[in-house]
Amino acid sequence: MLKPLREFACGVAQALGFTEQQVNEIEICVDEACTNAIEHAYVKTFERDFANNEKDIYIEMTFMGNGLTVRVIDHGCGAEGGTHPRIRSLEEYIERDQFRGLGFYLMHKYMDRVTVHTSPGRGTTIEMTKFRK
Amino acid sequence: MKAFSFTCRETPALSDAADCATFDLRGYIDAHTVIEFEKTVNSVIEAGTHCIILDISGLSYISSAGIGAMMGLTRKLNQLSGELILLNPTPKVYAILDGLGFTKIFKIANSENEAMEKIRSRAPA
Repeated sequence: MLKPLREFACGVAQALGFTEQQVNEIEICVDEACTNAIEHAYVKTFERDFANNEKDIYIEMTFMGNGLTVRVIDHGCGAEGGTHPRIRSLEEYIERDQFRGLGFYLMHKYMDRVTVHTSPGRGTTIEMTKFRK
Repeated sequence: MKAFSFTCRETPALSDAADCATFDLRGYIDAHTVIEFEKTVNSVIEAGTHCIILDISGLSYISSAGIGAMMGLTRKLNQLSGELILLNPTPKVYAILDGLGFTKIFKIANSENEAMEKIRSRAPA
């Protein structure tokens, strides 16, 4: 499921003239955002709460002012506090008992701007922008 | 092409060290394929092989799930006085690891000889 999404993101970024390294960085960030939605968005919800097609994840890509913005949108459980917890440094990651939570660190590292809109019961939108060199 | 596949072989030049194996990885490691990767390598570790070389020259892509799995294996093998070596990463995979700082954490070799040297020089148990 993730591979076609990565290929789609790469295809768009390549067509827009991003460098090979930038394309690779966009690829992994889209993967991480989608993985986050797949793993977390709908785990706390009950099957009966959703119609057949309401567990979808939407990806929007827009190009404006030299920047490619990717939005990964779900309508799942959302998160408390309006954001997702994330590690701030590699040192913090290494000290963890379990090596998880690298996704948001990676997105912040490789994209020029990352914002997360989330609230309990109202889903999550991860919005990431990268500017063309 | 299959999403992820591997072959495991005994490392010939280290046949004196019975606890060393090389995995030739092909395809990609993401949140889906990482499960098979972790399960396979862990089963070899649990069977007593504590020095692992991952030949990742055939790995086209790795996500944070794969990096996390390799971190977990590194920690586990270090606790067993073993070693995990990444062999021949592609420029793309190396760039991802390097951009995040993991080239300073993982032991990376560009040849089998270099990998074996790193294993031989590991801290004694």
